Amino acid sequence: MTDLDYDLHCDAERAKKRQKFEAAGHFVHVCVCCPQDDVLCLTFEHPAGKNSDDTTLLVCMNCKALRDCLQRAEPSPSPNPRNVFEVIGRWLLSMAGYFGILMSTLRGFGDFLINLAKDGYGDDLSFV
Amino acid sequence: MATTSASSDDPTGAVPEAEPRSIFLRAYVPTDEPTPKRRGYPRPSDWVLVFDTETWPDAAQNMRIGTYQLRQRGRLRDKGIFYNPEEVRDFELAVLQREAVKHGSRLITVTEFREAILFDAAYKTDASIVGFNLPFDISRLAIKHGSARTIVRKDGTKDRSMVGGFTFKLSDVEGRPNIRVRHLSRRSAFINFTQVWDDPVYVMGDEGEEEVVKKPGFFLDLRTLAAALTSNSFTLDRLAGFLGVGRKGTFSDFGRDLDPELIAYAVQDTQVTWECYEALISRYRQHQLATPPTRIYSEAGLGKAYLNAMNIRPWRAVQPEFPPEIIGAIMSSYFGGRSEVHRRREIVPTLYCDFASMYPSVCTLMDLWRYVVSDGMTREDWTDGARALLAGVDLAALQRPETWRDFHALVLVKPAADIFPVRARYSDGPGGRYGADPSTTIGLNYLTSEQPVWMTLPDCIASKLLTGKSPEVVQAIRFVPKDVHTGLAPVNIAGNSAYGVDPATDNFYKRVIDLRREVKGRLSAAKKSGAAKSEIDRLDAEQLALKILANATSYGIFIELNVEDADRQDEPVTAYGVDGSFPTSPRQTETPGSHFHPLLATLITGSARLMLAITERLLLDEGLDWAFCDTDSMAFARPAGMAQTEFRKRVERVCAWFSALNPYEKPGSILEFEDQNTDRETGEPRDLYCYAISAKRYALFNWGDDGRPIIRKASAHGLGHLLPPYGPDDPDEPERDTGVHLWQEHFWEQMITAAAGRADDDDAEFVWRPELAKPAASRYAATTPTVLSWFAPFNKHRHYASQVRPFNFLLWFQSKKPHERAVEDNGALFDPRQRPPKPVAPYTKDLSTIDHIWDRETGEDVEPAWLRTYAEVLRTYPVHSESKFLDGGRTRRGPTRRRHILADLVWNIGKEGDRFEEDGSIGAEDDPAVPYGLTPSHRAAAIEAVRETKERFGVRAFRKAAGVSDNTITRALEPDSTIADRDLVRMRNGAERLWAADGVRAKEDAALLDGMRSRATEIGVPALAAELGVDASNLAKVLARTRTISASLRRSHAGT
Repeated sequence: MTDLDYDLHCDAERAKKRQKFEAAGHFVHVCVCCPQDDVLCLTFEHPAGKNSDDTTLLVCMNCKALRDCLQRAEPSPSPNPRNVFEVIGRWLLSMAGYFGILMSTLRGFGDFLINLAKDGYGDDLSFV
Repeated sequence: MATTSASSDDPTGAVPEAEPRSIFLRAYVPTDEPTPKRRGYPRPSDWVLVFDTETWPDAAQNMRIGTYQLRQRGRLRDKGIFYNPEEVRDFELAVLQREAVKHGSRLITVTEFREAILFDAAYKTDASIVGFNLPFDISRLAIKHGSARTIVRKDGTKDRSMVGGFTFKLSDVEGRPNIRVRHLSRRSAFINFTQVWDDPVYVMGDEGEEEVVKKPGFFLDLRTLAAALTSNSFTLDRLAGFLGVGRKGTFSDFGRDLDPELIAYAVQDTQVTWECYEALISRYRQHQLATPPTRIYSEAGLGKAYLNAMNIRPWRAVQPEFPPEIIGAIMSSYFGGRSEVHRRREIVPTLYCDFASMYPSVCTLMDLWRYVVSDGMTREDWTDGARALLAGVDLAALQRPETWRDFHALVLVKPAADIFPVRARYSDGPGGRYGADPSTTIGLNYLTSEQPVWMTLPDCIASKLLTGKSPEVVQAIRFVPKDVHTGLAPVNIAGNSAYGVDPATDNFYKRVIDLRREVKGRLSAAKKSGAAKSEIDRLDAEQLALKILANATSYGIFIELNVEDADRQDEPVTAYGVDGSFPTSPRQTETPGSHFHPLLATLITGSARLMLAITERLLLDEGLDWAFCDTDSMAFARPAGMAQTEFRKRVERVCAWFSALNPYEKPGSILEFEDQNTDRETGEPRDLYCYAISAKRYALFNWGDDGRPIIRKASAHGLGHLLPPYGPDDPDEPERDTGVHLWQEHFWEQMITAAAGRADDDDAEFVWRPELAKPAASRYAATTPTVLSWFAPFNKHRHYASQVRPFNFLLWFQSKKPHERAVEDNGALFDPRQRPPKPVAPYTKDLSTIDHIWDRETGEDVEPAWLRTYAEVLRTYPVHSESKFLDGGRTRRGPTRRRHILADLVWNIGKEGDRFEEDGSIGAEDDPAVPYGLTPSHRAAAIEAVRETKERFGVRAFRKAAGVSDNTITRALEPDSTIADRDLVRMRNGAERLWAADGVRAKEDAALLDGMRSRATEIGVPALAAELGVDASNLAKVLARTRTISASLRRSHAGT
């Protein structure tokens, strides 16, 4: 396989994935928790759980794994997963989980920028 | 009010005798199109496939070779040459192999290109597929084609967007999609992949996983994007020059053997296409719009993208429940711009003025932007208000800008010799004085109608200005915009933060025009100061973007209706017109554009006509005359005996009147003197003359020192379909500063010279160069299945590769009539049944190289003697009639007069479709409209007339008079009859003839009138009117014999 064939193959897969996301109404293809924007790494996430609500978000596989891990610590479902309180409750827990992952991303990026500054980068930039 | 009842056509103010004619009003037919909901746009990937094909120059125009480039994020990843093995001989293949190595290109067959590059690389990766005139190139790659069909969506609604287009099969591999192309205009086409059934994508739906098979692709025709961004038509070479990228090579001999030069040309073509793509995309990105460039089909598309960027929700989306009856009334009041000739076929000293940005200006004056950003509109009865306004309005009131903000109203009027726009078929048949043109045109004429019609308030005011009397108001509706909708976002035009517009607080049109004036000022200063070319180019691009934006958002998008062929099996649909709803089975449907808002469109054109009516009133009050007007311009005519300085002074006074209506920052009048009034070199005032033939056919000129006319501005209307008979212009060259091509300029010089000599120029011959004695040729492409079907006889028995196929360019010639041939050729036996040929030939820019012309229907060769020459075609141009006015007949010259139309029948119609090619009337002025049928009241009246006539004269006599069968008469009288309007009108005309011949009705009417008069003497007219259930003022007119007895009055009287 040549480099060209390899790139075309990957991008054909990306195109299929984009189409899938767009058909579901997602036109911005970035993970909600981190800056990952390669559609190949993104997947659907049901914030309130598949059984409770059909709404989806896009997250990357890494954040999805973290979120799944957190989700296992959540209370077990009530007999009616579509119960309004159940749905809202699951939403809130999901939001907390996303913010938790996001905080770790923000901390990491903040540290990264400060280290860049310590290495002398950014001296030529200014806020408009 | 400083008005008199005299209008410009007759100084005595006498209204001509009324002539019964059918009039045509627009109607509205709702479609099952879902309300537009925009969530986002799919975007192409960062891959771009650019390709181009080279073809034989014969009728089939088969592909010989093509070239392509495959790029990722601008980086060239693959490039190659592909060839058609059936069209390339062995020695040419050897040349190709050598040249491919030389150019560093792969050499593959066209099949490999389709499968490996177009499908595997571009289609699967969602690449942008780029070309210049893509429909032609795609059709060259096809192995088969058919007509595009209606698609039924999952929810049962139908997608007809591609109906009227072609479907191309490009691969024999199962599951590969076809490509559909629907021609929209010379500049644009819809192109997409059809559905595919292999390799589907699954998404989660309401009922589990659902298959998603629609993947339309991303096709980008540079011709389309360039036109949208610049308002210009280009060839690839001219586009390259305009954008300042590498120029394409020059080449004309595409029939020769493949050689290094031709191959290098093809390779360079694709490279230039890529560079143009890069430059255009960079220009587009400056606008910072979310809409992908593949979805921009015109300037209007760019305007809509800006409206989307401002989060403006279309009116149909915010107010889907708006009653269709009111939309029907609004549509019936819609007419296009006013274009007329008043001084016909005379050389008239003139001063030429036009309104600055007419449509944005009237939008600003009426504050129509509030409707664009509002959550819909409310309406209220305003009958008394309209009556009061019309009674009191005068020139002084119109000079106050605040008056214009009250114009958001439609008025139902009962016209009685009022001056209104009238859409009618004005020609009087073959051999008549006014020609045989069957199309409808709009003329500002006296109108009398028993049936009330909706007009815009500005049109009613215009009528009052020109007649001196207010129209009779039956009802009026005033519209008021609701609150501004939330979530509007400011935008920076052309991406420049200095050109910010806040849709919630700014009057958008005013802001954009002000910005443009400012940028134009800086541009001319930059030019004078010798600023860098990049700075000048930047300012020029910005002022162009502002101009396009103002024009694209101030009119066209509000009346955008896409005409599509209707399915034959469709059930009758409900249409809404001037007097309510009615069933119809149109052959075409009109799908509204996303920002359809007919109230704005009708108010805008109505106000523009009011501006011209004010100008006409003012110039008449100044003792001046006018030669022609065209939408936003007026050519003032100097009366005999008036000095030029005095003439100029009076025109300046007229222009100055409009200063008070200038809504912009820069002071001055919005009616401005045009450059043509001054000398080209010195800029000093110079005597300008006008020679006008009919609407939109005119020239402005100076007399040169040598006594020859120097054309300053001319019209190519009615000439644009003809290929230039001689160079240096080619059909794709831009117009000169006169607005026309060189040969057209020469033609106007010839006409003016002939008119000045007055050596009876009615029969003037126009052979000023030998090329004019050659057959007159027009170019067209087989852009629709209907046009292509003309070539069925030619294509029969031919292999697919040698057939005339979709998008092939061809030359079309006009043939003489058989009797003309018989006159020319004494030996020819005149056979009146002989069918004139329909001659066509392969396309070539150099007309002298045509060696084969054939009949498109039979495929047989056509003798050159059958072909009309340019001189023969042009002979009728100077005597083209202005049929919508009296004294506008072919040989008439001098002032025209308004007609007085008595609305005999009122028809509902749809949009005039762009189908001139299919109708075979290339060069026709107007295109046939979608007919929707008679208005319900006229239909009921016609059925009543049939009933009366049958009862009075019996079936036998009626059948004979009307030329219809017994069955047709019986069907007409059935309850809820669905008889065709055509048959009904035929019976009604037959009935009229019978009654007229019999004289019975006249006697009956006399008796009826006597009876009513006696009764009126007894109880008074108002009481009698109440007794009969009719309008008292109308009854008074009938009793005074100023109005005829209507069918309803007869019925009412019989009922009492």
